[in-house]
Amino acid sequence: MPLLPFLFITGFFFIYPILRVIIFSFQSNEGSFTFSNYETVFTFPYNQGLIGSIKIGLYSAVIAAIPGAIIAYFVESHASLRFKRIIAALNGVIANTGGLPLAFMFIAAIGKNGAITKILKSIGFDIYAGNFALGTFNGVLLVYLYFQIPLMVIVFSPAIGILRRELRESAASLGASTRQFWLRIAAPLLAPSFLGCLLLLFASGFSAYATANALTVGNVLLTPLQIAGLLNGNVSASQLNLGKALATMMIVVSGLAVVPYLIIQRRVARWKSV
Amino acid sequence: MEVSVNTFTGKRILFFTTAIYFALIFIPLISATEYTFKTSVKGSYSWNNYRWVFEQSEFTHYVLRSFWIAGLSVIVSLLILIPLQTWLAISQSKWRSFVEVVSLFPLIIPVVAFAIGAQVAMPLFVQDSVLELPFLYAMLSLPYTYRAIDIGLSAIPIKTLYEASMISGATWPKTILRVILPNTRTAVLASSALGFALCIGEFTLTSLLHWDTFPTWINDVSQDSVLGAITLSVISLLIPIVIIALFAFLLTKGKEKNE
Amino acid sequence: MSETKLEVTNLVRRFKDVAALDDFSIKIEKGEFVSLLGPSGCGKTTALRIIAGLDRQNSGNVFISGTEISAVPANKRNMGMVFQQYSLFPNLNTEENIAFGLSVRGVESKKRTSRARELLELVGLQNLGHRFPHQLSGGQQQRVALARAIAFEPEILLLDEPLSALDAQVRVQIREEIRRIQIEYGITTLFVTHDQEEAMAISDRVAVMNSGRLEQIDKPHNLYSKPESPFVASFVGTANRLPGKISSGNSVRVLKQELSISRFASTFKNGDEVQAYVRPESIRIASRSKEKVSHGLVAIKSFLGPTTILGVKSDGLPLIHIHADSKELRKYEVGDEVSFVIDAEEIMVSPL
Repeated sequence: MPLLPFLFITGFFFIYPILRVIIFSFQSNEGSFTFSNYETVFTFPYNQGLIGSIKIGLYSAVIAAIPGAIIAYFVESHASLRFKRIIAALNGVIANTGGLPLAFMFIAAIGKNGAITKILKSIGFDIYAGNFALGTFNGVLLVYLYFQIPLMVIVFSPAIGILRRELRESAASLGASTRQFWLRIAAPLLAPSFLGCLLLLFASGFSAYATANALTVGNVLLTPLQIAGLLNGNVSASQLNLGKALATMMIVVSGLAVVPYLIIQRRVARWKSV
Repeated sequence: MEVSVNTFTGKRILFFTTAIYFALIFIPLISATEYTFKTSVKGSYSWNNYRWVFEQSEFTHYVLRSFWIAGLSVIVSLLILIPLQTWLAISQSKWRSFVEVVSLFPLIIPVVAFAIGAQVAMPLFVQDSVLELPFLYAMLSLPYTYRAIDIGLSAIPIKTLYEASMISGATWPKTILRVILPNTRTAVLASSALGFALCIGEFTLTSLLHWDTFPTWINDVSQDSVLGAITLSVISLLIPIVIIALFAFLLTKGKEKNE
Repeated sequence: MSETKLEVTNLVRRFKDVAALDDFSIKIEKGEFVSLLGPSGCGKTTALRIIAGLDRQNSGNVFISGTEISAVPANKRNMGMVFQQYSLFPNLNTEENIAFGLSVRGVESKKRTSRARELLELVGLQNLGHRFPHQLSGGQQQRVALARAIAFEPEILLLDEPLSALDAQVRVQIREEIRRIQIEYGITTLFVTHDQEEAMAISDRVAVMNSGRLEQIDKPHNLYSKPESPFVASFVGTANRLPGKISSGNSVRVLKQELSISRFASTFKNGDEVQAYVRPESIRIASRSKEKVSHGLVAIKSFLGPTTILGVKSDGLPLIHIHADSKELRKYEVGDEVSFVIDAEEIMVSPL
């Protein structure tokens, strides 16, 4: 059965490493069972890192969700098939843009010497007048929006398919105004998917690493950066398993967002076939 | 609610919103591209940065390396998934939903966490092997590659095709080769494209496991030459976009042909 | 005294270069059940949608009880509409779906609920008020759609191929329910379908459409026995098309017999070759020895229960279908010789 190679490979290359991380997060340096790693996780600076990551996930998700949903709605309901395909392909590329290329693109565009910065300055907008800098929390947040919005368009578009033409037309024939249709039919139908997508976007912003790594120099507290620091830098003997504890925390938070997203997706699929 | 009038306003809003969307996406890109062409002399442009980049001996080396690793990863994915998914589809096995759920796991696990896992769990012989990354990448891309093949397979009546072929007297390897696979071409292509794109751009896992590929090389370059790194970034961003543009152009051509 | 409830005059609707409706007019009386019948693309759904306000005509008028309503938006036309599928609101349960039209009109909650329950019972879904659309079968969904469409007592009921997505048996059940309810409530109804059996079974009148125009509108029986064009003759019911020759003003010679013509608006001369339309039930088994009898071999026998159809092959002729009581045709099997004769007062002919 072709099932066996799949199970074996996924088991060995994926499940096993994850299990090891989770199990060893409870291990002290001497090998005994302990919660000490987690105690460290909830103290400075790691607790701040977690808060920072949660914040950036939340903010980027909420800010990207509405523009993304609007674009998804208009493309799905009014664009030609050809245009939809092009947009889908474009979104696929942009949503996957990350790390260095993205960071450097923004540095070139709106960094201190960036082209756009200069243009804006010439018409009176100095974006660096305040405390803004790309290498800060807000800067990273801004850059995250670049891939979060297309991601929202990608994941929310299928949900729009629930709003079949017949629904709008029946509502009209039954006497509903556009406003009534949106309030009583469309919004309730889209709400679960919207929430689900918010969750997915949160997970995406929460877990992102490469871009933050490229933009910051250790001044912004985010858990992925801290984990990387533990992996790369000078790991003091007492912190061997701390990284695993942090990683486990990340898995828990991410799981708490992604699992409901998947569940919502499944249930919404039922509505589509009615 | 005048439905037909709605479509007209709808199309106008569509135009408006996509215009803004495209602007937001392309303005940073265009501005960054412009930046890479500038020289120290105000107002003049040149290919200097690009020349510098292409002259780096490591450039070709790392591009090929990333292609190679991404290619291997796609092959691993396809080798595991195609037999599995065709078998699941044809035999309508109860394992199908289980496999689907497993394929979604990588969505739940942040790559950084996975990196730590790989660091501590992979035995030495794996860590030294050039195959480590392809296999790990295959795991990361699983949700996308699985889904692409799943969508493609659902579009064809695979069980019926299989049974029709077998009844006509073909053996099962022949059936797979001459009936099933040709019909799944688009699904396989889509899956490969997705997997390949993901692997080419992957940075987190690679750098945390101390491997070197094109993305990590850009990082190295940035230590010495920010300009060089920016140029490389623009290149790696423009290429997929150019491919999409070609894709869009070809689609238009195809449509004209049909009309 | 019947009054005209719905009148449509000279409707034209063009899509790019194609005229979906090409000068279409129809008049429907109050309480009437009229079907728009025709093949795909004949314009029946387009006409319905224009009447509903979901589409705009290029020219022509729509009158309800004498008032022109083309400028009235769809949601103000007070018409009930039943779609083919996908029209129930997935987020509302059955009761809420049915009550929707009432709730939009500001009817208070208690009244809405009791009316919804009343309608649930009317369509035979008493205990399913709390179910959601995805928990219902196709037939049940369409019943809910019907209840929903009439809940607010609309002036006109429009149905767009409501049965096409259903299984055969369910289709028959529900079409009878639609008709029963329509008669009980006296709602003026326009029913679009491509299934001629369906249209004929439940309508007061049937309007046959072709390429955006009205071919003929009449009671089902008249359409069947007095079609006014070859299109209607072949679309409504089945007909054997046999070669014939005009002989003397009002007769045509078909299968060795001389028969009277009911013509399709064409002038014929003696000796003209024509196409004759003979219904399968107008062909009788006859004894071999009688004169003017034709002969053939049974090529196919289709047992339909109370009746049977024989497909008979005769030299130089297309397959001829004979439709009669099963008792009568019981003794014939495939390969048997059979003799038959046309037994009709008039037959329709058209130019070749």
